[in-house]
Amino acid sequence: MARKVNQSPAEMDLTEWDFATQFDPAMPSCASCHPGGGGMEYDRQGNRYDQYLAAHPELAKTPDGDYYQSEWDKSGVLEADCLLCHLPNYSWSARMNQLANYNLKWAATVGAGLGEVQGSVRAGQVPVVTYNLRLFNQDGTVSLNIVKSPPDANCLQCHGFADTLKRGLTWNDPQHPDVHNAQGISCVSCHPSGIDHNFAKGNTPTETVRNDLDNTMKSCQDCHSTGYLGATIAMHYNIPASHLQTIACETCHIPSLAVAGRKILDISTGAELQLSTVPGTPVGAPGQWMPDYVKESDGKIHPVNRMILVWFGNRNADGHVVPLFLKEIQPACDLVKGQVRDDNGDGLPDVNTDAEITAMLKALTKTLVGNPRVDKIDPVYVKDPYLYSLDGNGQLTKEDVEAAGVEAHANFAISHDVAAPGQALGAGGCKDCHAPGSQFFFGPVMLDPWNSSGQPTMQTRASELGISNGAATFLGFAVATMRPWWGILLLLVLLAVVLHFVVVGPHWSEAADPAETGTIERFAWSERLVHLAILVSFVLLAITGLSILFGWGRLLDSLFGSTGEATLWHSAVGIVFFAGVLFMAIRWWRDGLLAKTDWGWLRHFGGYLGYHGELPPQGRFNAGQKLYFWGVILGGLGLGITGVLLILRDRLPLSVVFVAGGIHIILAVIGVAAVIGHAYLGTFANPGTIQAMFTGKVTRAWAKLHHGGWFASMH
Amino acid sequence: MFLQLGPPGPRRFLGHVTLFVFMLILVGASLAAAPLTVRAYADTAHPPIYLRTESGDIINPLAGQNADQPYSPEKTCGLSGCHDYNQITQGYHFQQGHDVISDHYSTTNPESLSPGMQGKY
Repeated sequence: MARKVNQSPAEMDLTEWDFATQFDPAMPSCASCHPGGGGMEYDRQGNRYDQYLAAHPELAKTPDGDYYQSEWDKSGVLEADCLLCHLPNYSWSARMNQLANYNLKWAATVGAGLGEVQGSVRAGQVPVVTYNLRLFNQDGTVSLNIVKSPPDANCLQCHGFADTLKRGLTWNDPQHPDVHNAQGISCVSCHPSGIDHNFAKGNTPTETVRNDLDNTMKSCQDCHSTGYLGATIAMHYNIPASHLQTIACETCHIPSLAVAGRKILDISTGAELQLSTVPGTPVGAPGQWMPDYVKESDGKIHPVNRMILVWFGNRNADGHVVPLFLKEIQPACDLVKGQVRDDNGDGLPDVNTDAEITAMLKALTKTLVGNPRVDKIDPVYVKDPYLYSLDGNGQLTKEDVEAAGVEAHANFAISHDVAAPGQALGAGGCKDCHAPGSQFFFGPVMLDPWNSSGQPTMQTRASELGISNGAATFLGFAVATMRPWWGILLLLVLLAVVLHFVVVGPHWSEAADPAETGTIERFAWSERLVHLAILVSFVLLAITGLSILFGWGRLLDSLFGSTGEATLWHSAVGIVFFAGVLFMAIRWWRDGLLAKTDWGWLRHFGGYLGYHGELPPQGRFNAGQKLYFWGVILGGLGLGITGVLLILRDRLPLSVVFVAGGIHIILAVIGVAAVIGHAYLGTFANPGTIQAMFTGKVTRAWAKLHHGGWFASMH
Repeated sequence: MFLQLGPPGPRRFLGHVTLFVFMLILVGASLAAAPLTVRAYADTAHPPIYLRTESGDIINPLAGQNADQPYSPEKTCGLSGCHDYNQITQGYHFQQGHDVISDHYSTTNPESLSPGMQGKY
């Protein structure tokens, strides 16, 4: 929008008059949708345009942002057109035609279908209305079907077409219905307003429009946690609590859209070029596409329509980059005509090679001379992820566009076209997003619409989120690829111990020395207490952890109240487990040191596979227990460290969180399998062992049989 | 069959009285509900209105009264006091940022003149 006060028309782009009328024959007037009142009725000093211009006709010849080249005195003003929203079947296109003819004060009459208008202010005529007499009652009144709540169709006349970025056009797509729309929810159900007509709105990451009204509408939780308007209560039994805390509802529940949004806005060739999210398809046309994903200020991952902006500007003396008007770019384009080629065959020139960018910047250096908006000629070219400019020698240089504080893309929130729960991401399990090759993490998104070879540069959605492909793949391996195998592994371990008990039986119980009677202390009370703490905490960790991994939300809900509470318990108990492991490491590390004689024990698997020969006498711990001990120490440290990283996930790069998550899962499953074996060996496989962890004592016969070296050292 | 309230006597009489009172309540409730329904309809259907010109004059093409003039939403909806045009048009949908538009709105982004579509670069 042009400033009110300007020194010359060269400083001006869109005036208030341009806003009201059709300044570009290829585009509808801004006021086709903007319903009148406010700036379409009164100038920036509070004067009504038509009256003020009639009193001061010279203003139309001055560079006044409200009056330059205007005909308000003849066109009248655009009063707020109530029926644009409140009259079903209001004709938006009829209104648009009137605005294109400068028939501003006649637009409401025609849009409502009250009559026809002959004549055009633009053509120098005075329009005349012919009313539709069928609409009038005998007393001269009209009975119109005016409704209190605007119908969706009226909202979508503007929010569906004109503002494709806000995705209003997907709200009533019959081929890809929004589940709320299908249930009879209307626009104003979620975007209500009072008499002040400040409609409740959500938010846009770009934060450009009335941010004070952000998030005034009902959120997903407002309805789906209370059952408002019969909404289903969302339980998310099979979704980890961490996902609910870090992923917005829309991310999973709007897995795809079926109407092409606007992906690229390119004004680098002196004309406004719009390319859609579906290559080869116009904006607004049918076409399946998936959103981009970004982490917003609320710490959650949201789906967005990430629009790439390609434009020229000029860096003024104060360092601020002023975007150039199309009319300022066009002369430079004329200078380099023939030098900028169409590399991708779409019939349009692409400013994409270093030579073409350099040529345009050098041309702008010439055409910007004398431009009143430029106090220092330093043209720049902006195309994500770089800002290009010329150095003192006329050589092309580039810098990171975000570091330069220049906007190279705009993220528009996606909140409509919500799919039914069964079609949401995650309904099919972790693999919906985490499986290698899934669209969510590994699908391609555009980084650069045309690189130096004229082809788009793509990246994965994981990269867009700042997650390395390796980290996403690794976590995918742990939670998606291996998920069924983890269960099979644990079942196989259970089966193995049962088979071992049946086939091999209790370990050497017949070999115990009957001459040894009485008991001997094996573990001090502190050791037993810590082992008990580790035992209890590990069982709790296993129940909660495996339930989170396998999506047993109902079990967690029953035991802990919710998956979130269970996750809190998991974190808290994990600290106890971690502390216990540290205690054990300090207390038993000497006993865990491997000795040369351990090899003989290991070579025969400690006799657990049927060997009945003589084994080297074992110390306080046998070789197997030593290996298990170090496994517990290393695994426990790994679980503890990765667990802490997962607790602090909000403060860490997502790649770190993903790798930590993958390691945590792998160690945890292996740990559960190992503990099953440990429990079996300490009970059924070796009768007389378990009481050592409760009473602290074992029989002398047991001690001599299993830990002969240690038994001898005790005498 | 359900109207057989027993053999003649005081109990049968009381039964008839109870049934009569019950029916009376039903009929009364139905009558009371009828005007409510009409009122509810009246709340949703907009009453007939006179179209008015910018100067507030009635447009009545049947009588040839201002028949060639466009109607004014401001005067038609607001003149008779039915709707507060000034309050309504303070809403964002109408102002689009014009209520705070200024040549010096932003120092960090001088191209923006308001927080709305009217004034946005």
